[in-house]
Amino acid sequence: MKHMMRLLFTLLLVGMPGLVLAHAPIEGMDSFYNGVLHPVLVPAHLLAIVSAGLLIGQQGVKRMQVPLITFLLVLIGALTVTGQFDLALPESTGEMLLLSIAVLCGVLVATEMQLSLIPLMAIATVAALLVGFDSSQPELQGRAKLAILTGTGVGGFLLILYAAAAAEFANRAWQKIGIRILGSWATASAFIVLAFTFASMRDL
Amino acid sequence: MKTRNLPLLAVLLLLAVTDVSAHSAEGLAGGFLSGLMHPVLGPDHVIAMVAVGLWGAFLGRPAIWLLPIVFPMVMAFGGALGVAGVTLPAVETGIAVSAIVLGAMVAFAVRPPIWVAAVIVGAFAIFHGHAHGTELPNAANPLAYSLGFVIATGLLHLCGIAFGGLAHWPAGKVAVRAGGGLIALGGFAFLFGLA
Repeated sequence: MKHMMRLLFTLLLVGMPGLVLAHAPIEGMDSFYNGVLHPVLVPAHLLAIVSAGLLIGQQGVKRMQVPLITFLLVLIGALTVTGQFDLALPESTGEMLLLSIAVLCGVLVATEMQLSLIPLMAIATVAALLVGFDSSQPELQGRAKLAILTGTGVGGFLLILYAAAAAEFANRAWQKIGIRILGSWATASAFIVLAFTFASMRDL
Repeated sequence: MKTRNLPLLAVLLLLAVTDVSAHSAEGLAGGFLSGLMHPVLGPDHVIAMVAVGLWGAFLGRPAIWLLPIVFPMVMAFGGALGVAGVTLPAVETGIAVSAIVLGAMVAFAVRPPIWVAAVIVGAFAIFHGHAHGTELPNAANPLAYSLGFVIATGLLHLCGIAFGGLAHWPAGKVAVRAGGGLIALGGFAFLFGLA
C-alpha cells in the first residue's frame, strides 16, 4: 500500500508541470508584466504596432500627436470591452487583420508616404481595435485579468510611442533610410505569413 | 528499480520537463532563430545577399538604400509563391546565378540605370524568397521565422554595404571589385556543384 502511494505520488508530481507551465507567456512573472510584454511577444501585434508607429512618427512631431492619442484612447476602450465581455477575435482572423495592417503601414513607411490626419487616425484606430480585441484573456478572472489587460494597454502604447519617436528622431539621411528599411522588413515578414495563412485555409 | 527511488526519479523528471514545457516562448524563439539562421547557414544565400549590399554601396545613392528596400519586398513575393506551393523551376540554380551576376556587376563596375539594377536584384530576390518560403510551413512559429529570415537578409545586405563603403578610396575600390569577383567565382562553384 505504501509503495502504491509512492507510485501515485510520483505520477502526480510528473503530471503537474504540464498543468502549470503551459498556459502563460512567461511563468513566474506577474500578470501585469505579462500584459506589458504581450504586444512584444505576439509577433503579429509587434509588427502591426511597430509599423503603425513608424508611419505615424514619419509624419513629424506636429502630425503624430493626434493619431497617438487616438491609438491610446481606442486601445483603452477595446481592452475594456474585451475584459468586460470576453470578446475575442477568432485567432486566425485577428492575426490576418493585424498582418494586413502591418503590410499596409510597412509599404507606406518604405515609400515614406506623407498622409493627412484622417488616414493616420483611421490606421491608429484600426490597429488599436485589433490589438485590443485580439488580447482577450478568458481564462483569467478578477484582479489578474485587470492587471494583464492594463499591462497590455501600457505595453502597446509604449511600443507605438517608441516606434513613432524613433521615426521622428531620425533626422539624418541614413537614419531615415534605416526607418524605410524597417518598413520594408515589416511588409516582407507580414506578407509571407499572410500568404501562408491563405494557403493553409485553401488546403483545409 | 526499487519503488523507494521513484521520488528521486520524479524530481529528475521535473527538472527535465522545465526545458520543454514553455512551448509558446520556445516556439517563438525557435522559429525566430531558425529563420535568422536559414540565410546565414546557406553560403549561396550569404554571398548573394552580401553582393546586393556591395553593389548598392558601389552604385552610391539612391541605389545604396533602394536595393535593400526593394529586395525584401520582392523576396516576400517569392516567399509567398513558395508557401502557396507554386513551383519555381531551378530555384537553386537561380540563387547561384544571382551570386554570379551580382558579383560580376561589382567586379566589372557595371553602373546601369537605377531601375535596371532594381529589376535585376528584384528578379533574383524571387528565387531567394521562394527557397526561404518553402521552409516556412515547417517552422515552430511561421511569423517569427519570417521575421528572422528577413532580418538576417537585411543584416547581410548591411555587411555588403559596410564593405562597399571602402569604395570611397582608390585602394578600397580595388578591394570591393575583387570581392565582387570572388562572389562571382563562389556562384560558379555553387552552380557546378563544387561547393
